[in-house]
Amino acid sequence: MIDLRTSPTFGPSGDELDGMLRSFFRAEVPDPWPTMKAPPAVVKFQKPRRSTWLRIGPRLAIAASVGLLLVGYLALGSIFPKHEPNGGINGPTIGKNNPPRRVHTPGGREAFMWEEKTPGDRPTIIIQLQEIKGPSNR
Amino acid sequence: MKPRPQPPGPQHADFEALYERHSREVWALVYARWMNADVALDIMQEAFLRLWKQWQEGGEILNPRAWLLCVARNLAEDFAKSAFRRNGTQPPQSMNGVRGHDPLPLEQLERQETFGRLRAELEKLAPPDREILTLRYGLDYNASEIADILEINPTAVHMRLSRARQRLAERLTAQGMVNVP
Repeated sequence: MIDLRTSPTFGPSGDELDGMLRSFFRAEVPDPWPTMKAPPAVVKFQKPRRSTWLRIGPRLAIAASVGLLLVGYLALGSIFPKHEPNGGINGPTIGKNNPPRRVHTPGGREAFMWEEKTPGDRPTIIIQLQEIKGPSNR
Repeated sequence: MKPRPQPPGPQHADFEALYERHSREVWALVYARWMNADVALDIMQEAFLRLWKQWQEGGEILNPRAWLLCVARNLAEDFAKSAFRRNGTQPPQSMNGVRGHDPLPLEQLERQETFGRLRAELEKLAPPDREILTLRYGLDYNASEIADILEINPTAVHMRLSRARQRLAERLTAQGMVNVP
Protein backbone atom coordinates (compact mmCIF):
# COMPACT_ATOMS: atom_id res chain seq x y z
CA MET A 1 0.00 0.00 0.00
CA ILE A 2 1.25 3.43 -0.85
CA ASP A 3 0.61 6.35 1.44
CA LEU A 4 -0.39 9.55 -0.35
CA ARG A 5 -0.47 11.89 2.59
CA THR A 6 1.94 14.43 1.22
CA SER A 7 2.99 14.55 -2.37
CA PRO A 8 4.60 17.73 -3.60
CA THR A 9 4.23 17.64 -7.32
CA PHE A 10 7.62 19.05 -8.19
CA GLY A 11 9.20 18.77 -4.80
CA PRO A 12 12.51 17.11 -4.19
CA SER A 13 11.00 14.23 -2.23
CA GLY A 14 8.23 12.52 -4.09
CA ASP A 15 6.00 10.06 -2.34
CA GLU A 16 5.55 6.44 -3.24
CA LEU A 17 3.05 7.19 -5.96
CA ASP A 18 5.63 9.42 -7.55
CA GLY A 19 8.17 6.67 -7.22
CA MET A 20 5.85 4.12 -8.70
CA LEU A 21 4.95 6.39 -11.61
CA ARG A 22 8.56 7.27 -12.20
CA SER A 23 9.71 3.66 -12.27
CA PHE A 24 6.78 2.66 -14.46
CA PHE A 25 7.29 5.36 -17.07
CA ARG A 26 11.06 5.00 -17.09
CA ALA A 27 10.66 1.31 -17.71
CA GLU A 28 8.51 2.18 -20.69
CA VAL A 29 11.00 4.59 -22.25
CA PRO A 30 13.20 2.61 -24.68
CA ASP A 31 16.69 2.16 -23.34
CA PRO A 32 18.98 2.62 -25.17
CA TRP A 33 17.21 5.27 -27.11
CA PRO A 34 17.21 4.34 -30.81
CA THR A 35 19.26 6.47 -33.10
CA MET A 36 17.93 7.63 -36.41
CA LYS A 37 19.98 8.67 -39.37
CA ALA A 38 18.59 10.81 -42.10
CA PRO A 39 17.75 8.66 -45.10
CA PRO A 40 20.01 9.09 -48.10
CA ALA A 41 18.84 11.88 -50.31
CA VAL A 42 16.92 10.70 -53.32
CA VAL A 43 18.65 12.01 -56.41
CA LYS A 44 16.01 13.07 -58.84
CA PHE A 45 16.81 13.08 -62.51
CA GLN A 46 15.15 15.51 -64.76
CA LYS A 47 14.80 15.29 -68.51
CA PRO A 48 16.96 17.70 -70.46
CA ARG A 49 14.91 20.66 -71.51
CA ARG A 50 14.31 20.68 -75.26
CA SER A 51 14.58 23.87 -77.21
CA THR A 52 11.48 25.81 -78.16
CA TRP A 53 11.75 24.87 -81.83
CA LEU A 54 12.01 21.19 -81.00
CA ARG A 55 8.93 21.41 -78.86
CA ILE A 56 6.68 23.32 -81.29
CA GLY A 57 8.20 21.94 -84.53
CA PRO A 58 5.91 18.92 -84.87
CA ARG A 59 2.84 21.05 -84.28
CA LEU A 60 3.95 23.52 -86.89
CA ALA A 61 4.51 20.70 -89.39
CA ILE A 62 0.99 19.39 -88.86
CA ALA A 63 -0.50 22.87 -89.26
CA ALA A 64 1.49 23.43 -92.47
CA SER A 65 0.33 20.08 -93.88
CA VAL A 66 -3.31 20.91 -93.26
CA GLY A 67 -2.82 24.33 -94.87
CA LEU A 68 -1.20 22.79 -97.94
CA LEU A 69 -4.05 20.32 -98.29
CA LEU A 70 -6.59 23.15 -98.28
CA VAL A 71 -4.64 25.24 -100.80
CA GLY A 72 -4.24 22.23 -103.09
CA TYR A 73 -7.92 21.44 -102.92
CA LEU A 74 -8.89 24.99 -103.84
CA ALA A 75 -6.32 25.17 -106.66
CA LEU A 76 -7.47 21.91 -108.21
CA GLY A 77 -11.07 23.02 -107.90
CA SER A 78 -10.34 26.14 -109.85
CA ILE A 79 -8.37 24.29 -112.56
CA PHE A 80 -11.01 21.60 -113.05
CA PRO A 81 -14.47 23.19 -112.72
CA LYS A 82 -17.23 20.86 -111.72
CA HIS A 83 -19.08 19.35 -114.77
CA GLU A 84 -22.79 19.39 -114.30
CA PRO A 85 -24.91 17.53 -116.87
CA ASN A 86 -28.10 19.17 -118.13
CA GLY A 87 -26.83 22.65 -117.37
CA GLY A 88 -26.06 22.12 -113.80
CA ILE A 89 -28.37 23.33 -111.17
CA ASN A 90 -30.04 25.70 -113.61
CA GLY A 91 -30.86 23.00 -116.14
CA PRO A 92 -34.11 21.05 -116.44
CA THR A 93 -34.81 18.39 -113.94
CA ILE A 94 -36.98 15.41 -114.53
CA GLY A 95 -40.11 15.55 -112.47
CA LYS A 96 -40.52 19.28 -112.49
CA ASN A 97 -42.95 21.14 -114.63
CA ASN A 98 -40.35 22.77 -116.83
CA PRO A 99 -41.37 25.35 -119.42
CA PRO A 100 -41.39 24.20 -123.04
CA ARG A 101 -38.08 24.52 -124.81
CA ARG A 102 -37.16 24.35 -128.41
CA VAL A 103 -35.38 21.16 -129.49
CA HIS A 104 -34.41 19.49 -132.76
CA THR A 105 -35.90 16.14 -133.61
CA PRO A 106 -33.66 13.40 -135.11
CA GLY A 107 -35.26 14.27 -138.44
CA GLY A 108 -33.95 17.80 -138.19
CA ARG A 109 -37.25 19.47 -137.52
CA GLU A 110 -37.89 21.90 -134.72
CA ALA A 111 -40.22 21.07 -131.87
CA PHE A 112 -41.22 22.15 -128.36
CA MET A 113 -40.55 19.70 -125.59
CA TRP A 114 -41.85 19.93 -122.05
CA GLU A 115 -42.72 17.73 -119.17
CA GLU A 116 -45.93 17.27 -117.30
CA LYS A 117 -46.50 15.49 -114.06
CA THR A 118 -49.83 13.95 -113.18
CA PRO A 119 -51.03 14.61 -109.63
CA GLY A 120 -51.68 11.81 -107.16
CA ASP A 121 -49.84 9.43 -104.87
CA ARG A 122 -47.94 7.92 -107.76
CA PRO A 123 -47.29 10.79 -110.16
CA THR A 124 -46.43 9.99 -113.76
CA ILE A 125 -44.07 12.16 -115.77
CA ILE A 126 -45.19 12.71 -119.35
CA ILE A 127 -42.77 14.21 -121.85
CA GLN A 128 -44.70 16.17 -124.43
CA LEU A 129 -43.25 16.93 -127.89
CA GLN A 130 -44.99 19.30 -130.28
CA GLU A 131 -43.66 20.05 -133.73
CA ILE A 132 -43.27 23.65 -134.60
CA LYS A 133 -44.97 24.34 -137.87
CA GLY A 134 -43.44 27.33 -139.46
CA PRO A 135 -42.01 28.58 -142.75
CA SER A 136 -38.84 26.61 -142.34
CA ASN A 137 -40.81 23.34 -142.09
CA ARG A 138 -42.92 23.81 -145.10
CA MET B 1 20.06 13.43 -67.86
CA LYS B 2 21.72 15.18 -65.00
CA PRO B 3 20.89 15.11 -61.29
CA ARG B 4 18.85 17.99 -59.99
CA PRO B 5 20.95 20.13 -57.67
CA GLN B 6 20.10 19.62 -54.03
CA PRO B 7 18.02 22.54 -52.73
CA PRO B 8 19.73 24.53 -50.04
CA GLY B 9 18.26 23.80 -46.65
CA PRO B 10 18.59 21.58 -43.63
CA GLN B 11 20.97 18.70 -44.09
CA HIS B 12 21.73 15.42 -42.36
CA ALA B 13 23.38 17.05 -39.37
CA ASP B 14 20.40 19.31 -38.78
CA PHE B 15 18.07 16.36 -38.96
CA GLU B 16 20.05 14.30 -36.50
CA ALA B 17 20.35 17.20 -34.11
CA LEU B 18 16.62 17.72 -34.28
CA TYR B 19 16.06 14.04 -33.62
CA GLU B 20 18.35 14.15 -30.61
CA ARG B 21 16.57 17.19 -29.20
CA HIS B 22 12.92 16.35 -29.75
CA SER B 23 12.47 12.65 -30.41
CA ARG B 24 11.78 11.79 -26.78
CA GLU B 25 9.01 14.31 -26.36
CA VAL B 26 7.43 13.28 -29.65
CA TRP B 27 7.59 9.70 -28.44
CA ALA B 28 6.11 10.69 -25.08
CA LEU B 29 3.06 12.33 -26.62
CA VAL B 30 2.30 9.34 -28.82
CA TYR B 31 3.00 6.96 -25.98
CA ALA B 32 0.56 8.86 -23.78
CA ARG B 33 -2.08 8.35 -26.45
CA TRP B 34 -1.64 4.61 -26.85
CA MET B 35 0.34 3.49 -23.80
CA ASN B 36 2.42 1.39 -26.15
CA ALA B 37 6.14 2.09 -26.38
CA ASP B 38 6.67 0.26 -29.69
CA VAL B 39 3.78 1.95 -31.45
CA ALA B 40 5.03 5.27 -30.12
CA LEU B 41 8.49 4.57 -31.52
CA ASP B 42 7.09 3.68 -34.94
CA ILE B 43 4.94 6.78 -35.09
CA MET B 44 7.73 9.01 -33.80
CA GLN B 45 10.10 7.76 -36.50
CA GLU B 46 7.44 8.15 -39.14
CA ALA B 47 6.96 11.77 -38.09
CA PHE B 48 10.69 12.41 -38.43
CA LEU B 49 10.79 10.71 -41.81
CA ARG B 50 8.00 12.97 -43.01
CA LEU B 51 9.88 15.98 -41.78
CA TRP B 52 12.95 14.85 -43.70
CA LYS B 53 10.88 14.29 -46.82
CA GLN B 54 9.35 17.71 -46.44
CA TRP B 55 12.81 19.22 -46.21
CA GLN B 56 13.97 17.29 -49.25
CA GLU B 57 11.09 18.62 -51.27
CA GLY B 58 12.04 22.15 -50.34
CA GLY B 59 9.18 22.70 -47.93
CA GLU B 60 9.83 25.36 -45.34
CA ILE B 61 9.08 24.42 -41.75
CA LEU B 62 9.33 27.39 -39.47
CA ASN B 63 8.97 25.51 -36.21
CA PRO B 64 10.12 21.90 -36.65
CA ARG B 65 9.30 20.97 -33.07
CA ALA B 66 5.69 22.13 -33.31
CA TRP B 67 5.45 20.53 -36.76
CA LEU B 68 6.70 17.21 -35.43
CA LEU B 69 4.36 17.23 -32.45
CA CYS B 70 1.41 18.05 -34.68
CA VAL B 71 2.25 15.36 -37.24
CA ALA B 72 2.85 12.81 -34.49
CA ARG B 73 -0.52 13.58 -32.90
CA ASN B 74 -2.25 13.22 -36.25
CA LEU B 75 -0.45 9.96 -36.96
CA ALA B 76 -1.46 8.69 -33.53
CA GLU B 77 -5.08 9.46 -34.33
CA ASP B 78 -4.76 7.79 -37.73
CA PHE B 79 -3.42 4.77 -35.93
CA ALA B 80 -6.68 4.65 -34.01
CA LYS B 81 -8.60 4.34 -37.26
CA SER B 82 -6.46 1.48 -38.50
CA ALA B 83 -5.99 -0.25 -35.16
CA PHE B 84 -8.72 -2.79 -35.82
CA ARG B 85 -7.17 -3.74 -39.15
CA ARG B 86 -3.74 -4.10 -37.56
CA ASN B 87 -4.89 -6.10 -34.58
CA GLY B 88 -7.56 -8.12 -36.29
CA THR B 89 -10.35 -9.21 -34.02
CA GLN B 90 -8.09 -9.33 -30.96
CA PRO B 91 -7.99 -6.05 -29.07
CA PRO B 92 -4.41 -5.04 -28.27
CA GLN B 93 -5.15 -5.06 -24.55
CA SER B 94 -5.66 -8.80 -24.65
CA MET B 95 -1.98 -9.23 -25.50
CA ASN B 96 -0.85 -7.45 -22.35
CA GLY B 97 -1.41 -10.51 -20.22
CA VAL B 98 0.64 -12.78 -22.45
CA ARG B 99 3.83 -13.79 -20.71
CA GLY B 100 6.89 -15.72 -21.72
CA HIS B 101 7.50 -19.31 -20.67
CA ASP B 102 10.54 -18.53 -18.58
CA PRO B 103 9.80 -18.37 -14.84
CA LEU B 104 10.30 -14.88 -13.41
CA PRO B 105 11.74 -14.01 -10.02
CA LEU B 106 9.14 -13.17 -7.42
CA GLU B 107 10.08 -9.51 -7.24
CA GLN B 108 9.87 -9.15 -10.92
CA LEU B 109 6.47 -10.82 -10.94
CA GLU B 110 5.19 -8.46 -8.28
CA ARG B 111 6.57 -5.48 -10.10
CA GLN B 112 5.05 -6.66 -13.35
CA GLU B 113 1.71 -7.15 -11.69
CA THR B 114 1.82 -3.69 -10.11
CA PHE B 115 2.78 -2.14 -13.41
CA GLY B 116 0.03 -4.05 -15.18
CA ARG B 117 -2.59 -2.67 -12.82
CA LEU B 118 -1.10 0.79 -12.97
CA ARG B 119 -1.14 0.63 -16.77
CA ALA B 120 -4.78 -0.43 -16.71
CA GLU B 121 -5.67 2.56 -14.55
CA LEU B 122 -3.56 4.93 -16.61
CA GLU B 123 -5.40 3.79 -19.72
CA LYS B 124 -8.63 4.86 -18.10
CA LEU B 125 -7.37 8.42 -17.65
CA ALA B 126 -7.96 11.05 -20.30
CA PRO B 127 -5.11 11.43 -22.84
CA PRO B 128 -4.18 14.93 -21.58
CA ASP B 129 -3.66 13.48 -18.11
CA ARG B 130 -1.47 10.74 -19.53
CA GLU B 131 0.50 13.26 -21.57
CA ILE B 132 1.42 15.32 -18.58
CA LEU B 133 2.25 12.28 -16.47
CA THR B 134 4.43 10.81 -19.21
CA LEU B 135 6.34 14.04 -19.70
CA ARG B 136 6.81 14.49 -15.98
CA TYR B 137 7.69 10.95 -14.93
CA GLY B 138 8.93 9.42 -18.16
CA LEU B 139 11.12 12.24 -19.39
CA ASP B 140 11.54 13.99 -16.01
CA TYR B 141 10.61 17.31 -17.55
CA ASN B 142 10.02 20.27 -15.28
CA ALA B 143 6.97 22.52 -15.36
CA SER B 144 8.36 25.05 -17.81
CA GLU B 145 9.51 22.35 -20.24
CA ILE B 146 6.10 20.71 -20.12
CA ALA B 147 4.43 24.10 -20.53
CA ASP B 148 6.55 24.70 -23.61
CA ILE B 149 5.48 21.46 -25.26
CA LEU B 150 1.82 21.66 -24.37
CA GLU B 151 1.68 25.40 -25.08
CA ILE B 152 0.22 26.27 -21.72
CA ASN B 153 1.64 28.27 -18.84
CA PRO B 154 3.58 26.63 -15.99
CA THR B 155 0.84 27.34 -13.48
CA ALA B 156 -1.57 25.36 -15.60
CA VAL B 157 0.99 22.56 -15.73
CA HIS B 158 1.08 22.36 -11.96
CA MET B 159 -2.69 22.37 -11.82
CA ARG B 160 -3.14 19.73 -14.48
CA LEU B 161 -0.46 17.51 -13.05
CA SER B 162 -1.94 17.74 -9.60
CA ARG B 163 -5.39 16.85 -10.89
CA ALA B 164 -4.07 14.00 -13.00
CA ARG B 165 -2.25 12.56 -9.98
CA GLN B 166 -5.35 12.99 -7.89
CA ARG B 167 -7.55 11.18 -10.40
CA LEU B 168 -5.02 8.39 -10.69
CA ALA B 169 -4.68 8.14 -6.90
CA GLU B 170 -8.45 7.82 -6.56
CA ARG B 171 -8.52 5.01 -9.05
CA LEU B 172 -5.62 3.23 -7.43
CA THR B 173 -7.23 3.65 -4.02
CA ALA B 174 -10.42 2.12 -5.33
CA GLN B 175 -8.31 -0.78 -6.53
CA GLY B 176 -6.73 -1.07 -3.12
CA MET B 177 -3.28 -0.28 -4.46
CA VAL B 178 -2.65 2.92 -2.50
CA ASN B 179 -3.91 4.50 0.69
CA VAL B 180 -5.21 8.08 0.64
CA PRO B 181 -5.72 9.69 4.06
